[in-house]
Amino acid sequence: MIKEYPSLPLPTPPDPQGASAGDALIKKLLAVAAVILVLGFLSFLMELPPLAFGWLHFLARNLGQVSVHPASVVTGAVFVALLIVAIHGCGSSFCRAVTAKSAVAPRWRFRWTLAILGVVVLMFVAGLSTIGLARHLGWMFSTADPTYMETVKFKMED
Amino acid sequence: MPRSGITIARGRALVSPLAAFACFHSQPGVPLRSNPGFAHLSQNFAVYLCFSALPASAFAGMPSFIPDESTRRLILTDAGRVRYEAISFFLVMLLLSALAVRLLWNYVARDFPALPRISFVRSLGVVAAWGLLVLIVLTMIATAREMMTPGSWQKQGLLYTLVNTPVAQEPIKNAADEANEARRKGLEDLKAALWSYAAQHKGELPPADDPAIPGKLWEVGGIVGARYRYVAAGASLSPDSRIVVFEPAVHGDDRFVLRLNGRIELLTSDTIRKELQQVKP
Repeated sequence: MIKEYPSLPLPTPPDPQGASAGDALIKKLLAVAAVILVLGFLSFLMELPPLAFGWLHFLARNLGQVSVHPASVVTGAVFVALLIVAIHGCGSSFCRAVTAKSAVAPRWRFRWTLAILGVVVLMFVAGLSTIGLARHLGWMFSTADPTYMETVKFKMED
Repeated sequence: MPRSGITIARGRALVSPLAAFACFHSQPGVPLRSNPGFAHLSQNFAVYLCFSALPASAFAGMPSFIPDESTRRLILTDAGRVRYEAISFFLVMLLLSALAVRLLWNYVARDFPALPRISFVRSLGVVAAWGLLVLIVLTMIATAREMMTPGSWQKQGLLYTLVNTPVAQEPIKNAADEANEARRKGLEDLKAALWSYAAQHKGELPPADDPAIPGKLWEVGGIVGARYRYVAAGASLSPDSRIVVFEPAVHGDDRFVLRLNGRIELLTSDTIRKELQQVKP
């Protein structure tokens, strides 16, 4: 006679997606910890460049020197308005041309015009930022003024 | 290290009241203040109060300071700090641009299902690539300028910079002297204001004390109350080498002068005096 034992519940297999997500999180935390450790070690040897919050000092130092030229502001506003009209006109005519050939009639939306204008402006900002970065890095490599200097504290002789 | 007399005295002063207290014997029937050891105890206690206010340790002899090698480290110079702050600003601008481009793209992509959504990293890649493209275009323009005007760039360190302009190559005594450069800069600023005025008034320089020229420009930099001498009020700009403005004698005998033809020169007081006498009718 064969005695039947109730079957034991099998252990649930680990969720591969959950495990990989957990591993990825642990790896990220380890990477952050490693960066903090390296930066902490470096800070004993040298003053770290103020890259995280240096822009606040930069703004505080330079915003006071900015002057607004009303004529230039008006000129800029007029040309931005003209650009909006031009983009919207081109977009609308493109949609009309597509409508003539297709049954599906897309209508050009004003927000697309604004998005294109925003991207154009942002590309200028990005271009200028890259140029600024390159110039300052170039000056750092070409100037005779040192970026770092060595200091040491003095103590009383025992 | 030898201990100073103060430190030794302080140690003794802290112990002596205890010793006096141990030796103090109160006699029955005798008031406390009449006991023979009371005066000794009170004196020691007063000394204890005085010395307890002194520092616990003091060093005797002439102090000698030596560098603590464990504290040796690199710190940013002022110029380096300013440079890194500027780099930080441009980096933040680049990151913000990438964020805004991503938001705009994904906003528009809602209307176009075929367009993929982009992540911040991809957006940053696009923005950085665009920035590099702009940089390449500018480099090409600079290269074209070099081809059209050979010798306009000179090597400085790892990079190239523009050579000095003809104005900067004018003969100046002690050109390397920073103080002279600052004095010259002040006169150049004044010249820019005067010439700008003349350009708007048929080539005529402003009269003396004209409010169109800011008073700050007339002040000789760094010296309170010192102002440039203006000796050509109302004159018309011309190739004439007549003196327009000269420095007061606050930097010694050599003074910078601004001529009607726009040149800035360094002359002695005697030369200036002779030239001014020739101009007078």
